[in-house]
Amino acid sequence: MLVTLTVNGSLRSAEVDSAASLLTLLRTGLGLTGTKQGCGNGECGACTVLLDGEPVNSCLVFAAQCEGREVLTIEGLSESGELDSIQRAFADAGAVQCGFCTPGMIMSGKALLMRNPRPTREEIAEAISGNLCRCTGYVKIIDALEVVAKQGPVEGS
Amino acid sequence: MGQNALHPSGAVGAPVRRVDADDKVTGRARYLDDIVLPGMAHAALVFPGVPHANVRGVDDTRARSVEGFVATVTAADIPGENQVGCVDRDQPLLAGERVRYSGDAVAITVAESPTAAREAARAVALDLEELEGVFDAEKALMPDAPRVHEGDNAYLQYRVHRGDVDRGFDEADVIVERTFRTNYQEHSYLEPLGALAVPEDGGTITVYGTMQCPYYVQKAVAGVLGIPLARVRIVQTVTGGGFGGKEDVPNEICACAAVAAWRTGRPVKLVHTREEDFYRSSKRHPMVVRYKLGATRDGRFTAADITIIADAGAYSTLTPVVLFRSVAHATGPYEIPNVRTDGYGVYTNRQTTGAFRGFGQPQTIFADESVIDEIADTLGIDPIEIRLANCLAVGKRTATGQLLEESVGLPETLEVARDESGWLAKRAGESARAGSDGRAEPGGASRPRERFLRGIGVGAIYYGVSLGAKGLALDASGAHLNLYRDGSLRIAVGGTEMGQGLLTVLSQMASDVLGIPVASVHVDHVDTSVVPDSGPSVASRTTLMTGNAVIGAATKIRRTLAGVASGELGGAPDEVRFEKGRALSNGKSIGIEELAELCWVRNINTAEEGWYAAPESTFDDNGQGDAYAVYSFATQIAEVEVDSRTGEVHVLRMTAAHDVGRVLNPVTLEGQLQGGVLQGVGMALYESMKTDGGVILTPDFSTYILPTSLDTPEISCHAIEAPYSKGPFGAKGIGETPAMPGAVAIANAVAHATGMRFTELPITAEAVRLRLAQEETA
Amino acid sequence: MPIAHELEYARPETIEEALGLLEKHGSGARPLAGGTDVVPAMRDGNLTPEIVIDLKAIPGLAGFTCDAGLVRLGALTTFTDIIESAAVLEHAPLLHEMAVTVASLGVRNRATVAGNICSAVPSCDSGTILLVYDASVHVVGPGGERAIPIADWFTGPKRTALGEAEIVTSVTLPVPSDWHGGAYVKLGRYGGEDLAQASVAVLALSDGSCRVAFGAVAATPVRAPKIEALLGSADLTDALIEDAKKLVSEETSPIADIRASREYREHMLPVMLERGLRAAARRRAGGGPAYGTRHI
Repeated sequence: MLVTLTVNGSLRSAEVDSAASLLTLLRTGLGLTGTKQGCGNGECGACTVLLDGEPVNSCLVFAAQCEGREVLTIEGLSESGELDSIQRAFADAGAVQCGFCTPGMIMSGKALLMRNPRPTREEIAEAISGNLCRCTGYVKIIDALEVVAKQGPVEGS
Repeated sequence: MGQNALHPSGAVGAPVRRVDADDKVTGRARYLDDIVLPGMAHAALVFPGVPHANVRGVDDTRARSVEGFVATVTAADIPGENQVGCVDRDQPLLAGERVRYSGDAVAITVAESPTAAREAARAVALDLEELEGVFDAEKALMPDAPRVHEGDNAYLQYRVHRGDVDRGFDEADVIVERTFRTNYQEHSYLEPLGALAVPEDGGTITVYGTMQCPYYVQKAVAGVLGIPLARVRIVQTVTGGGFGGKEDVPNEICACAAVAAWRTGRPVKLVHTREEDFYRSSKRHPMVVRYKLGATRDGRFTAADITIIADAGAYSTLTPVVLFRSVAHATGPYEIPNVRTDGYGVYTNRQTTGAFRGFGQPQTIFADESVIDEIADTLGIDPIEIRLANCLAVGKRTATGQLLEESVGLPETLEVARDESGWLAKRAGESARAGSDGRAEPGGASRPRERFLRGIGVGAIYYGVSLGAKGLALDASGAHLNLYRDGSLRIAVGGTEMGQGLLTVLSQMASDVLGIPVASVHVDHVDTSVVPDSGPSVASRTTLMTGNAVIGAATKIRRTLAGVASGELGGAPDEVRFEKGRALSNGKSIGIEELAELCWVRNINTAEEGWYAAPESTFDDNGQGDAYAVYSFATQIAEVEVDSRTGEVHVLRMTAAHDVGRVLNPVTLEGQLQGGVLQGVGMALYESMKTDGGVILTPDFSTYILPTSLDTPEISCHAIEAPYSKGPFGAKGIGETPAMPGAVAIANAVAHATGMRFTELPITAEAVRLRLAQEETA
Repeated sequence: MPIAHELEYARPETIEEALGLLEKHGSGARPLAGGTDVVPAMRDGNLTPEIVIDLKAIPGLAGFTCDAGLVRLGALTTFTDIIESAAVLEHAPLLHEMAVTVASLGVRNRATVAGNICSAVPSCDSGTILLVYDASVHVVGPGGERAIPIADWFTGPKRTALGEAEIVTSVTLPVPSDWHGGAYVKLGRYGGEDLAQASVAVLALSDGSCRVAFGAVAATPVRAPKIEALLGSADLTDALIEDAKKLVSEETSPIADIRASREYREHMLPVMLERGLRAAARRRAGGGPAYGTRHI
């Protein structure tokens, strides 16, 4: 079936199986491979994208359910080629190791900061608690998001 | 992070930003499953559904009718040898005759999509004659236990025998003996296993994959295809975590993809789902460790008698190297004159076990560090004092009789962790045992014990860096450096980046040797066609081995440049300095890019090979010898609060002090420490892959519990620098040690808080609560 | 995903259209709201519908209202909707306290209360809360509309009173108009949001009575009539609470599973009941911890 939706600000269409997930649509249908599949069951958060501004596990959303809706993926944060403030903070703070959780982690952080520009460390930890990371122990990820919060509002907030 | 002052003048030691960070934060980094090739087909594995059976037939009639079906590959289709055993040759790639565990692949299906390939795999009918299985290493030792292979289930034994153990126990005033048990721990790297095999011109094949050890994969692929190594090229893709789990298992994944590609003539991708990954990948060995330790009244250890039973699972895989390390290190980082350690590797019909950060040591560390605390308690000696009194130091000998001549920062790690954690005050007296925040049950009925119990505990460890005496034969690493005419440098190495930051620290090293900015250096992921076999990226050896190879090659280039520079500037070639992009000599300077251009104009080679071989190591029949060239040391201290009503253990704070030889990059080091600490928390409190008769009961992250951001304690990291003369800039390996002492430090803290000693991990809320209940009724 | 079988996807825009599809496909149809339970079940092969009927485009199922006296949750109401509603926090704060414990943010943004009770696993968080609020589940089918009392809703593990050709349209909770207090006590295994090993919901009413329900310790979420009768409208003294705790074993029948042993559940339930009763009573009295605070 053909699904048409707005991805990172552009209207895109892709032909997918009726059973395909939003994750499959993004990765296979549109070639946006920045969003990762770590479990396929909504348990690891690596596939987190923003659907109409809200973080969702894209592996749990049927592609068909996204007809006409708006999706923001990791590729949409730095379209101009410049890193956005969260990406820069992750890179600077050492919040990246193997990098596989990073896109989903950044999208969860983005959603938090759009909604709550001045979160506490506890609120940050809560907001990313559905995103598993096996490398960092989360400390530097929380550090990075705290740095961004202190810089002022992020785009989209 | 606290660290000793060794002030960096160049890139080494500075908090250089990761060179791969931009790719990873933008989603540009290309992991295996991100690669799509024209004409690519997809593979899936046919699982047996039972753990032990004879295979009588494979019928793919129904699979052929699945839309998009391409091919079925069985053992009979393997052109070379149906064998991927890494150390022992006991493991067929496809179980054509006999299934030995539920993750054994009987066949491979190939189709136009991953979905169709899996549907086809499910449609393959297997005719299996089920056999009785054995699912417990101790039961597998019984004479009447079903045999997993032809020989005895107890197929492997190592020992370390030193001194006179009986006399040592006679000299002891106190002896503690306990049996400890640990279960499977799953690596849970976020990127599942995967491979993409591409048949290419000239009868060659290229296999891309997520992996730690491309040269192992090269050998496995060449073997199953029956073609020479020269026709097999392995390219490591950006790798989403390893922790040991991508050491040998990628051999199997890549070989499956290769056989399927060879058979179909098409590029074939094989990517595991998370559940398949649980079934197929190796785990941390479940171990039973019987530990007996004697000490004199003043706290001097006199003898240790240790038996280790390691569940190898269905195939030997890396158990020989892992068990060697367990046995060699079983006494912990202490000088004990009389030692008898016997370790057994045992086959069962369960998931295979292999390398996992710590490599066979966290299980024995749990035993030795627990027993030491009990001895200290019995003798009324502070746990850190008793460790300081017995611990290894320069001039002391390990259990294998190895004299330590340099780079032993263990005592300092104990002292720094003690002081930074506020150990003495927190350990002292009963006041430490109740929460100081006055939290109490509302209603305040009188209670037999405080609701919240606080405790502090310690664990200390040592880790032989690199492969040691019983590693696979090759313990050397190569590098290929090419300085271009514009002064930029491209580096190819044989060691893999899996998230730990290798590409960054190698860039820093080359930058310092050649005086060029880190931004002028690019390091590639491994391509086996470029760099000679460099062994595996395991055992905390990569920074050391690959780093030395890079430094070797960079030094050759520097020598070339120095010759040209001295000709241009005057002065002796060996007095030319390289700093900030310039060569300095005779009071004058010239840019590196100008020197590189001059070389190009004058037909002077600026590409060089580096090669570094590990110092020789030895291990005789009694386990005596210089088992490893050098050791890394660490101490971690855990502070916990136990809720006596629910049994929940909250880790409040971890203090980690690690002797790393030399800090190469404080940010990436601290990140590795923090991540390792949390893996230790997971092992201590949450992680346990449960199985029943070969079925995994916890094959996903809903049932296999990993620590989340809400489970991370405060982590205080401290680097101790006891430089290693043969290490790159004095550095030693740091990959494994962060994940090693934490679990037992938590167990010791729980013992301090509750007075109860746990001999099994994980220490779940349930385990604590039920023990407390037993005590309350007793 | 991948979901390895042929599947039709339908997105009806009216309830009538949805019911028509359900009737046509019978047991081969699976209604879908957030999909957070349906997708994994399909992925594991435990659910193999020939058609999924996405209810998200049906206007009549969306929205929720929250007035003094009645909370109405449209079938598409997500846990995030509940968490973010100030009205819920004011009128039915126990719903809020439950919703924050469900899964992770990405799941809460999709998962619905109606879907949660349709999946009907014994540990479902919504179940105990709806039980103590005496909620009704409103369904519509070929025979028209009907309201099913929540007490009759759960018929077994993953089984409900919903007919094959019916869909849930809303859930209503009569909420006490005067001051009341509640507590949801959920036992997880770690700091991250977990499925409940056991859960207790308590609603303490202004007349002094308490309603109590347990989750994950019987085939379905269950009310605890004996405990409620014992507590009556009496003051929650230490002695009374101790007596109530002794009745827990008569109200529940926990089993061992991969998450916890029977023994641990039996140990924890009285502790959880006590915490729930005390917190609910303090909240009823105008004090106590803010809703959403963990009790364990």
